[in-house]
This record gives sequence, C-alpha cells and structure tokens, in this order.
Amino acid sequence: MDKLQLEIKNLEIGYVNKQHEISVFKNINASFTNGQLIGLVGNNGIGKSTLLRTIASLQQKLSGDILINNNSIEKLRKEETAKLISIVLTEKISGFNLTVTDLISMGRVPYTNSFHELQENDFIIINECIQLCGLTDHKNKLLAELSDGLFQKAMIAKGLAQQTNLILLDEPTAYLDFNSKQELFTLLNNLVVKNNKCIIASSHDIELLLKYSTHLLVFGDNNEFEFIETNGCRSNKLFQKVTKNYFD
Amino acid sequence: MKKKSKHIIFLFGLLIVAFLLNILLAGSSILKLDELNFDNYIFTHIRLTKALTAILCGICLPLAGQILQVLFRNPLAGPYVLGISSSASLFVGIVIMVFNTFGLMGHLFFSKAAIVIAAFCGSLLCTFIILFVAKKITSNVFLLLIGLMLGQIFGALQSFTEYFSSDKSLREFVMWGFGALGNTNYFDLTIFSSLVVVLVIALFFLTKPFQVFLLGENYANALGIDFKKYRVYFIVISSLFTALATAFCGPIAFVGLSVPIFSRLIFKTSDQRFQLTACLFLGAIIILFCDMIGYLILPDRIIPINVITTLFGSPFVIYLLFKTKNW
Repeated sequence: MDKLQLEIKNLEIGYVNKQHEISVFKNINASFTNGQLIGLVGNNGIGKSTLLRTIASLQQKLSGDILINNNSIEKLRKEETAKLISIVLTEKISGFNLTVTDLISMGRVPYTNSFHELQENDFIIINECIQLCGLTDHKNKLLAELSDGLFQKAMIAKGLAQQTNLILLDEPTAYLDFNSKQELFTLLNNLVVKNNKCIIASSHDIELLLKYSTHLLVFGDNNEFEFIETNGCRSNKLFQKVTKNYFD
Repeated sequence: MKKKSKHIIFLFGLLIVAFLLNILLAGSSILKLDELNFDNYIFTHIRLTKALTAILCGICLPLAGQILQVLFRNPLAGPYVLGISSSASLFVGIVIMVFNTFGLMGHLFFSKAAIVIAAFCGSLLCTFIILFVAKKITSNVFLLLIGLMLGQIFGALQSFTEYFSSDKSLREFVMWGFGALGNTNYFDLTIFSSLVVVLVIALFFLTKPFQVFLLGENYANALGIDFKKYRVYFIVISSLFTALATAFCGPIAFVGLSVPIFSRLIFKTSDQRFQLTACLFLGAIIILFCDMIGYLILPDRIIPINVITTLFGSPFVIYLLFKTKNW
C-alpha cells in the first residue's frame, strides 16, 4: 500500500450560505501519515464533523489547503478521492433489502466497471473485510436487523473494502454500549497497527481515545486549537481545559 | 447469480403467457387460436395494440416508481409524487374544455393527438420546474415536499377548470382519468416503444450510480459518484417514463408505486440491475392480467383498469407486508 501524507495548512472550515461565508473554525494545522489513530476532541458543534466532511470533499473548505501526497485535494477527481479517503458518517442506512455484504461490496464501487460487476478479486477483498471486522456470522443479515455496534462495524468494513489509506469516522462510538465501544476501538487499533491505516475519528469517549489513539486534535472555544501526541497530552493546557468536566 | 437468471427467465415466461391470454380473453369476445392472424382486424388493430400498450405502460410506471423510491430512499414515492401526473391532467383538462368550447372535439384523430400532446407537455412542464428546483435545493426531503406542493397547485387549478367545464367536457375528462390501454394505434406504438427502449437502455447504463444511490447523497459522493449530476439524470428519466405512460394511457394508478415494493418483497435483493429488470417484467405482467380481469368480471361491462389494479393489487401488497419483518 502506498504511503499516505495528509497535510492541513491554515485550513478554515465552515459553510457557504447565499454568498455569506459562515466560518466554523480556522487556522487548523496538522499532518498525518500511516499508522496513526487521530482522535478529534471538542464540544458538539465546534467543527469536528465539518472538518471530517471537508477532508472527505463532501463540502468546500473556506480557505487554506488540504494536501494529500502533496496534491491539493480539490484538484483530484471524485473517483481518485474515493480511492484515497473513505468516511463513516453518523447517518443510518437501511431498507431496500440491503444486507451487510451488499453494503460492504459498495466499497468496491471506485474500482468496478460501469455496471458494478464484482470480479474474483473483489470477492476476496470483501470477504477479508468481513472477517477483519468480525462480521462473518452476520454477513447475510439485513442492515435493518443489525445492532448499532454491528452497523458501525459494517460501515467500517465498507470503508476498508474501499482500500483507502485514510479512514474518517464521525463519532463511531455514539449510541454504543460499553463493550461495543471497547470492541470498536480495538478494531480501529488493529487496523492502524496491523494494516497500517491512518484513521481520524471524532469521539466523546476520552478514555478510549487516551488508550488507543496516537494523536489528538483538540478543539477549544474561541478557536483555540492543538495538534498533540496522545502520550503526555494530560499536561497540555487546552486538553485540560476542554476535558475539565470529564475528569473532575 | 444463477438464481437471478432463473427468476428473469420465469418472469419472461410469465410475460408471454400473460400476453397471449390477454390477447385471447381481454375483449368483447374470446378469440380462438386460429383467429390469431394478421388478416383479422380485431386481432391486429384492437387486441394486439392494446396488449402492446399494456406492456409499454407496465414498463414505464414501475421503473419511474423504482427510480424515485431509491432517489428519495422512501417507498412512499411513486411516479406521481413530483406532481407530474397532476400537471398532465391539468393540461388534458384544459385541452378537452377548450376543444369542446370551439367544437373541435368531433375530429377523433385530431382530438386524440391533442390529448396525448397535452399530457406530454404538461408532464414536461412539471419536470422542468422540478429540475430547476433540484438545482437550487440540495435537500431531497424539500424536493419531495415541493413536488407534492406542485401537485396540489396543479390539482387545484384543475378543479378550477372543471368547475367551469360543460357536462360533456367533464365526462370526457373523467373517462380519461380512468386510464385506458385501448386508445393507441401503430403510429402511437412506434413512438411510444422507441422512446421506452431508449430510456430503458439509458437507465441500464446508469445502474452503477443507481446502486450507489441506495446509500444516499453523502456516501454516493464519498464513493466517487457525483450525486447532484446523476440526480438530474434520474429525475429526467423517471419523468419521461411517467410522461409517456400518462400521455398514451391516462393516469394509470397503483402500479408505479406498488410494483417496485412488490418486487422488493418477493425477490428480496438490493441488486438494482435485477430489481429494475424485475420491475419491468412484473409491471407488464400485472397490467396485462388486470386488463384481462377487467373484461372478464362482468359479462357485458368493462371495468376500468385503474379500478382493477388498485382493488386487486393493494390487498396483495398488504399481505406481503404482513409477512415481512424487515427489508
């Protein structure tokens, strides 16, 4: 797998609403590479999802640069981006007889022909992803029948089938019970350590982030921002401030 | 894979049976097998044209319905949710009223062509409004609501027209609203079928983005499928399907909404290439059978196709829904 270098320079994120730009957060600087699990920490509404959506090109940045392997991300064609970045959002998908395997095979869309006909190789990859995420017993279930934990795993498996170096996750542990949260982070950790992925995940489960993440992006009020290593983050002023109520 | 091919072959066989039975039974008298020759006027110019129209109509409406249900990720969507048939109805209502006022309705060919053209123009007008809105508005729910509102507006305008219509116009308009398969000749069928073929081919070349649309806008974009671009294509195709069916057969109820649901419930697959093919066959089969039932129930009365499709189809879909836990 190729090496990934994602650089964020002076990025300003937000929304464009009828000529008005609504800035959500600015001056974000960070750089990521393979084998990292980066946690996004901050209050609701501070811009964590917006940042993830901006990196995935689902919305426009307001200013600054996002460089992936030294190429500006908006210069890439959609199909190329889909081979570099996958994203798991908070929205639920079900209905239309979609099964776990159907969902995961959608991850092959950037690679299949114009009729989305899966080849031998695609089936091998899909099966690997099913196994890796522990979904073997559930692969023929309908999405509507899955628990929240299994649904998250299925979405991650779809991202894996997309074979991207970078995987973005928007609050993957929301709605999950404690065991499922633990399981999910173990899975993410494996993907980073064994499969050398780069994963950026927003989460409010600080303890799990402390245990499993390698880096943290901390979003504070008044546009305060830090990109720090998880080791020793407890001594960081902004981290202390943002998580004060959590640890009190 | 093999199972799916078997299903398609089965549906194809069923379609042939339905087609033959329809030609033999769906009419004022039952045809004998030796009457099936092209010298027989009833066979060539009445039964055959009607059965072919039934097939084309049965292809158009379920495909339009399936496209919109996937686009809005909502099984309540049907060919009529975007207001398309309402605007077609309004135009037809106006044409019937105006023509009757000026005494033009007597010329059969002229008036029939006028109704077909009016229905088609009405459908296209609404399609253009929807496309214009779709370019401005990202939210699918808003688009759906705007479609429903447009339908209401056209419906109200139509009531307004009806209020000022003569009894004769009203009757003609109500008859048109029942839906009819027997109003086409070979000239109509040539236009109808060639357009349907073009649209079906176009749709089958778009099955990949269509498949991805099951995941909604965000995931489609994240998989490299330009949602906004393909949304326009799908709206155009489904609107044209609806426009064609409404223009040639009037507003045929039920099949557009329920055949896609029906197909999902019995075949239980999310593979859209199969689902679209199944919808296309099922729609044609169901319309052929419903038309036939309409002729057979009462000895010397023909029951309108819309009554049959709804009365016989709905309970069956309800039954399937009771049997299904999830889909």
